[in-house]
Amino acid sequence: MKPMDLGAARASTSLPAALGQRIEPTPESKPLLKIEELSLSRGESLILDNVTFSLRRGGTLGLLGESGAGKSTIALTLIGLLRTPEVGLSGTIELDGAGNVTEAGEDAWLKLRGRRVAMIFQDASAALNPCFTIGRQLMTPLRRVMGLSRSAARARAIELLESVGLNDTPSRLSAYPHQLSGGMQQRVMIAIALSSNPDLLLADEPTSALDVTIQAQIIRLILEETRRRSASCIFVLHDLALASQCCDDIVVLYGGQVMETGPSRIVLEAPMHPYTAALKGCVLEFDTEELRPLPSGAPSFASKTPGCRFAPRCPRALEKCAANKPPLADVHGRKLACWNPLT
Amino acid sequence: MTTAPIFRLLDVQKAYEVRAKGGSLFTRAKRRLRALDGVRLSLGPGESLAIVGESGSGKTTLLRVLLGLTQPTDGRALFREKDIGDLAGTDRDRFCREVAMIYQDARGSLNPRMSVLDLVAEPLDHHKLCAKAERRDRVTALLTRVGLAPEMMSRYVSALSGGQLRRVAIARALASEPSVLVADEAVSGLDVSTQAQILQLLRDLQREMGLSLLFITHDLGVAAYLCDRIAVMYLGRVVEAGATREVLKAPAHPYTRALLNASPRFFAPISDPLPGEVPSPIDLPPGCRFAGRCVRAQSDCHTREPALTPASPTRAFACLHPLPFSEPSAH
Ligand SMILES: Nc1ncnc2c1ncn2[C@@H]1O[C@H](COP(=O)(O)OP(=O)(O)O)[C@@H](O)[C@H]1O
Ligand SMILES: Nc1ncnc2c1ncn2[C@@H]1O[C@H](COP(=O)(O)OP(=O)(O)O)[C@@H](O)[C@H]1O
Ligand code: SF4
Ligand code: SF4
Ligand SMILES: [Mg+2]
Ligand SMILES: [Mg+2]
Repeated sequence: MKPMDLGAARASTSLPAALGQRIEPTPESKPLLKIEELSLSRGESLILDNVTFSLRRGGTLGLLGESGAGKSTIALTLIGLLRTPEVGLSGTIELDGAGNVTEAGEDAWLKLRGRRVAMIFQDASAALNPCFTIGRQLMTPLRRVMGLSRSAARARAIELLESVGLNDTPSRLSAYPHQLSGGMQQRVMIAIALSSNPDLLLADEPTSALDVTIQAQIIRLILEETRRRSASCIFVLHDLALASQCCDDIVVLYGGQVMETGPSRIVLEAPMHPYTAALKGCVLEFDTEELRPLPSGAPSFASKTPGCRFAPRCPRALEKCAANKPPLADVHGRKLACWNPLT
Repeated sequence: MTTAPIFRLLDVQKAYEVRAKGGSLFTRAKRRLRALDGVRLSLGPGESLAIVGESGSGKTTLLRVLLGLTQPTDGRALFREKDIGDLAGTDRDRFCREVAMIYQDARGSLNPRMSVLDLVAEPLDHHKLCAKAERRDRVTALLTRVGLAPEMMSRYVSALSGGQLRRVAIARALASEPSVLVADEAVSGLDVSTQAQILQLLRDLQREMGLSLLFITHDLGVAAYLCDRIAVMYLGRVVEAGATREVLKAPAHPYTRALLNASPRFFAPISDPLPGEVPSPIDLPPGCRFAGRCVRAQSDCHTREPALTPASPTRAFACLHPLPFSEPSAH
């Protein structure tokens, strides 16, 4: 993809050190999160099929794919919110220091959720409680989770709101969510999520309801604040270009199966999986003349579907694709599940 | 080219009376909120125009004025050189048939109790465009044109996917054989693959049927793909307008530049974001209304208000200290 002339303005914009530098893993450091062969079923539907990926401490990872791919399901599983009887879970989720949490009970999750793993949702106005002030929603977890006194919680709440870019913070504490703009509400959610210094932040489409200008502010804020804390972040995104800008690694999902995963520089620069390539072919750049949309279609989640779930829509499908599931194998610096990849 | 424009806005102003925040209900003074403040633009036959800008910049209000849903408080809004608010009789019928709208919320804008057949045929019936016997054939042709199987006719809105819904909305818009399509964020909220399909369809329709297109979007990539011309709005004003490719290649207005920088680009570092948010259009300070967020603002920007001024046959902007932009070399 040939980047168009971005003009002098962008070239001259110097990035703060926190954004420019990547935190390199030390050789002995274990990944913060290691997911292996995670499968999730609801009745006869296999919603996640053998999902495997890992995330290093301080790293950012993007989950990409069309709606229904299973991105939110992964995020909700990682914060222990899909633990109902109708959900069947197998495989392992290793969170550094907490072991395999796939089988953890609710009391174990109460110690992890909001403390070591926190989440930001797409729709801040729905996630914030409309009846409580911003101050109360920020201070309650600070007191309960961090054990701060009332006045210490208040001081910390003001600090947090300032760090996410709200002005006039003492008076914002008594504001209700509806009195803030969408961008401001999202900032408050970020402040709440960061209040317990989590190791892992999950951001499920945190900016899809916002203007691009506010999106840029929010994504930068999340990157700056997580890097400052050496926390890792999983972004759920549907914009490949945005993912290339904010994720070290990406996981491309289709129908609950990992299609392609690896460093975003490698995967998004030159996709080898037909699905990743098709998604990239839908991204508009300012000089796009022709789009190459995929044919319509939704994956089958029937647990008995044997082969590659993308086969019905795949322009490169071979005869064996529908019957045999391709394994996730190492190819050219990435992992790829495809019988007939692009070269 | 001297074809008469279909739409023309002459310094349109739309002000709302609102109560300012703060104080009690009784002491709150009424204030004027200028959602549109001196907008001048035109749309000719076969032209495509994108209106872009952050939320709160007045895009939807502009559309409501064009559709005659609200009257300008000052200036004139013309359809084929007649005031839209005064259209009556056959002029009004012609306006309703010629101007078709595609709404942002496709699901909400289509009656869930009507079948696809009736939804698409409604404009045919309303404008008495075909005999009862031809109705099915016309709907079949329209559905085929937007890429839907004729079997869809018997379905209801609840059984359609997001992409199918947009196609039904487009088929319905085309039923009255319009000359202008007007759309407000018609592809937002769709998956990229569905969005690409719908955009491709809209561009084909526009080109093949010679339709005029007025497309409101917050996505500059969508604007570039679909529209030859672009108008960038900020706080009720057009701050930059011109040929889309030229404007996006080298914007003259700092606000256009900021929108461009904020748009995701493969592997580009995330730029320094534009600070703050669009302020409320009540009690605007004198001078340029972008000055509070502008990286190029100088002292005169706080006292002098720049007007939208043509800089070349294909470019116009409202800025006292524009970014350098070169005129396209003649071919
Ligand atoms: N509560 C639920 N009950 C049944 N099926 C669900 C539920 N939530 C999600 N699903 C199904 O799981 C699949 C993945 O959904 P989701 O994780 O929300 O995808 P994404 O976030 O990628 O859009 C979809 O097919 C969806 O229909
Ligand atoms: N009916 C109304 N009464 C009062 N203010 C309004 C009304 N409609 C729009 N506005 C205000 O006008 C401005 C422009 O709104 P709008 O045209 O919806 O912008 P956009 O579509 O670009 O987001 C906003 O500040 C909005 O709050
Ligand atoms: S395995 Fe076959 S169907 Fe699946 S993506 Fe590869 S080529 Fe296409
Ligand atoms: S007139 Fe001044 S403040 Fe306004 S956009 Fe131009 S440089 Fe910025
Ligand atoms: Mg989701
Ligand atoms: Mg609007």
